[in-house]
Amino acid sequence: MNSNRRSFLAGGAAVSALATLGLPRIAASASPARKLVLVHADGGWDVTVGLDPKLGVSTIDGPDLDEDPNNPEDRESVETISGIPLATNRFKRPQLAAFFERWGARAAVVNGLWVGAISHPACIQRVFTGQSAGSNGDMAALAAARVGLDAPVPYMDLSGAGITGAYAAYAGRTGSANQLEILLDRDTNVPGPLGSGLVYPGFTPEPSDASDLEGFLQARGRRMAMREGANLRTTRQVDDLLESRMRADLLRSEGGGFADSLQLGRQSTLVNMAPTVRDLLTSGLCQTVSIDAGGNFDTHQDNSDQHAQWETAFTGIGALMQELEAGGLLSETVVVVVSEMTRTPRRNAQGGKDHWSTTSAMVLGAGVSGGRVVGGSTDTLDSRPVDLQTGEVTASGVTPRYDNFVAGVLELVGVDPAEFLPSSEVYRGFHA
Amino acid sequence: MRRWLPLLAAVGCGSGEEVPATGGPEEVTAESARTQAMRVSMAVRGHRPSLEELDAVSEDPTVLPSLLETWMASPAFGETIRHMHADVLLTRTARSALPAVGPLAGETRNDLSAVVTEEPLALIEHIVLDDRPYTEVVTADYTVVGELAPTMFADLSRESGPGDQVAVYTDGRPAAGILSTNGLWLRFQSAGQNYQRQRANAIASALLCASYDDRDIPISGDIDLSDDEALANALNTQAECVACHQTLDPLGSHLFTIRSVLNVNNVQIAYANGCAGQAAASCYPLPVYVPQGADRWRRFGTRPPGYYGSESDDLGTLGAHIAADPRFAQCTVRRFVSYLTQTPADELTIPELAPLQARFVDSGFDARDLVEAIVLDPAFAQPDDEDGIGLMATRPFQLAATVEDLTGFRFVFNFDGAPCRQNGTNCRGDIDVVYDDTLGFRSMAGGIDGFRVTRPTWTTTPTKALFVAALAEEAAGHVVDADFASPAADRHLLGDVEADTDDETAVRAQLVTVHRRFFGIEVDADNPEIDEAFGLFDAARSRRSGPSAAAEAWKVTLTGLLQDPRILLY
Repeated sequence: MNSNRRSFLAGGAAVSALATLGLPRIAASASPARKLVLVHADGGWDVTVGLDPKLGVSTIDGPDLDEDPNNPEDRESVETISGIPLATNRFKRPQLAAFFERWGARAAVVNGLWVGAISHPACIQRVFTGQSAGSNGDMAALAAARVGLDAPVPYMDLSGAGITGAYAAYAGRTGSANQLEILLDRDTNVPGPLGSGLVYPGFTPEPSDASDLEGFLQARGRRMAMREGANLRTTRQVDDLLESRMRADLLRSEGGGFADSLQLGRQSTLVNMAPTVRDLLTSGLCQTVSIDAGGNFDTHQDNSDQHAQWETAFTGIGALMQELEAGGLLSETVVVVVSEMTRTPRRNAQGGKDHWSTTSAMVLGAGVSGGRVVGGSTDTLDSRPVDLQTGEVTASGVTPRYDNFVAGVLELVGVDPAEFLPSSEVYRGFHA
Repeated sequence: MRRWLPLLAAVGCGSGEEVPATGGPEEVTAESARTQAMRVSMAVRGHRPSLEELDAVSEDPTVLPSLLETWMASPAFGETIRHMHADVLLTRTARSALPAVGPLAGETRNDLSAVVTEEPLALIEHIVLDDRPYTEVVTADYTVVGELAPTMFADLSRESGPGDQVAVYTDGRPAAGILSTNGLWLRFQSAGQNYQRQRANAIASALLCASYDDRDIPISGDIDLSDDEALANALNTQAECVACHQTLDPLGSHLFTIRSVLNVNNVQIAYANGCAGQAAASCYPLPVYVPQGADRWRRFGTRPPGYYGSESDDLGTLGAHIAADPRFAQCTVRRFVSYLTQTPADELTIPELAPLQARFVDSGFDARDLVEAIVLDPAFAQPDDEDGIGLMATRPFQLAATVEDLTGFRFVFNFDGAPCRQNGTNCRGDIDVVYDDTLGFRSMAGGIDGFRVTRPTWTTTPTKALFVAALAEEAAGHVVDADFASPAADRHLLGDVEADTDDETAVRAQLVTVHRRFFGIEVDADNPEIDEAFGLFDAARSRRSGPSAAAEAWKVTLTGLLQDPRILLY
């Protein structure tokens, strides 16, 4: 199937939803349009185990509590790698140190981000969209909607939990086990109900039927588009439908390699999917991608489990960076790694840690002022005030919030954040 | 949308007058009556009206309310009620499954998951379909569970019979509707120092539309959270803590009689340890209600059970408080309006909801009357009305129900491999793709997974379009093969042609019937839409030869028709 982009428009159907809705043209951001990979360290990472070291601070139960006294290699320390102080343990979490040795010069660590909530859904909403409630999608969705519309599917969600907000028509999901393969490659055999003997696909049109089907659906789409205008929601629904169908057709026609890289049943972990991320971005199939770092940081019962989670995450992030480098993407791609919250300064009675309403993030790649830390936290993991323009901790600064951070990422990838976060000052401290 | 609710107040709210059956100020035509019937049927049943029902409203638009009564007595409406409440209670998540061990060895993961996920939803469905006051959602002295439930859970007496049946817990737990179900609290558990607060917020959010998550939480690091006494002191004295905890903690203190944590690991470890000693409590049938835990709030230094400043004793009094709380009625109305009109709940204002809330309360909390008021409102009737609700997106379960109704096809996978099938262990079972996210397409097609994706997508997405394309192909292939293997009277769609019929007049006549069935429209055989569809049929047939050419052409044509925008939007 060979689809012309915007062919439904050429057929005389409705104009774009933006024009129909009378939304203002968007002022261009100072940064060029960049690709974005949004990595979610799911569950709330204990930043004192990595990005925000607090060893020796009496008010914080650090990772040194987990040291094996009988293993001299199992020792925590604070190392400054590529200009960034980190909590390292080269026995338990070797990939963290290795990552910063390789990529630290390109990375900015953002500490002391205030989130203001302590439940996972509320924190995810805030940290990823910049709003406590509202119609914003996450950073990847917003960026895709403004600088990625030339891509067939501007935003590809590999995490399964991306927040698309009002921009769902620009977003695709691969599914937690790459189920998208079944939909893209209709030759994928899938067994039917138990005892039926059925193996899908039961029926697929012949290639020779494709253009007639496409023409038929476009005609039906044009007729539907004639209904636009009278009712605002009808207009948006029809526009989203036509937009989505056009993009689905493009994904089918131009996404052959991508479909081949999906393996039904394989978990969409960062390590597994890093090559796919590279392919998606190099092929121009999408502008932004969201994916999970792997593992789960929600260690209420036993905080020593954080070590394995950090190791898993940075193994994956390292693989991602290698793939982006191999794909020649580093100069045009921003990678954001963030968790929705951190964990309490002290351990609970079970030896775990509960939720805490600040977090840290890591931003790498194009346009990033690498090899440094911006912001900071107190010895009780409260946010320190910062100058949002420089990232310098200063008593005359303000508490850096989740919305400031999201605004900073949006600006970094070429989006004017004022459209989505009109009341939020932009956190530029990690910009080059 | 913002104009139609006051119309209800003017016409019938609380006055006992009938709401106008169809249309608004415009003249009702046969076409508009069919359009309205299509919308209403999709909203309450997830599929189209039958041809007979469309004929009935065409002849007499005033029959729609009586048709609606019939539709709201159907299992399909029950599924809509379940789905609506699944979006609110978030119980349909893959994480709730308990393992297939012991007396439940050999059961599939899907069946075991359903024991937990469906209990509160089945109870609410029963209350609504049985025309019971909606307040029983929090006051019922019974529950509704499937066949495996008495094997999974202790002290559960269930009426005999297949499927979901009324049951009672015999462990002395108070009567509190869904608040007394195991299913709800296995979804919302409480570990460590949470002290039932997640559960309390689930109650406030789902039943009162008053989530504590909406508030900023300015936690100070000055509090030593490892010191229980210091923490308790802070929660009782520091203003930023008291603001939430003074009401949150008393809500949560009702839940100490429900087991805090119960998951796959608990049960598997217990069976590995032979269910001996303390492990027995995590072997089937599982005790969940622990009355001896009622006073545990004292040990943890939280507050006694209470309801926003009022005394409360247990789950029973909690349910009674909620039922009497005006916020419960308002929140219920908000949820129903939001779901049925696909309007974000937080965009609905109190003045807008007030007339419906009054009607709902005056009716004795009649949920079906509430649904009727919403879907028969003039603003709901016509998707193109300037002031109306507009077109809505077909939800994944509605897509499946519509396609099944039209073609008899249900998209079901089964990935259980040979070891599972030979040994009967660790089988997942049949996967209905619109009810599953692990290997299905539920959240990919706009639904929620109940855990990470908690808001549905009420529009079309590229992934949804791909899903509908695959669904259309499979359903088209199925219905053509099935219909042409059956006598004409028993067919779903193609009762007017045979497998080898390629006569244009006959094919066009059949397409006319299919368009009535699919879209509720009356068109002539030379209508442009029929021209389009026949063109697709004719092109596909002309590229084929042999006795199956016409049948294959129907598959291609129905593949197209099942992707018509009017399938994805209603």
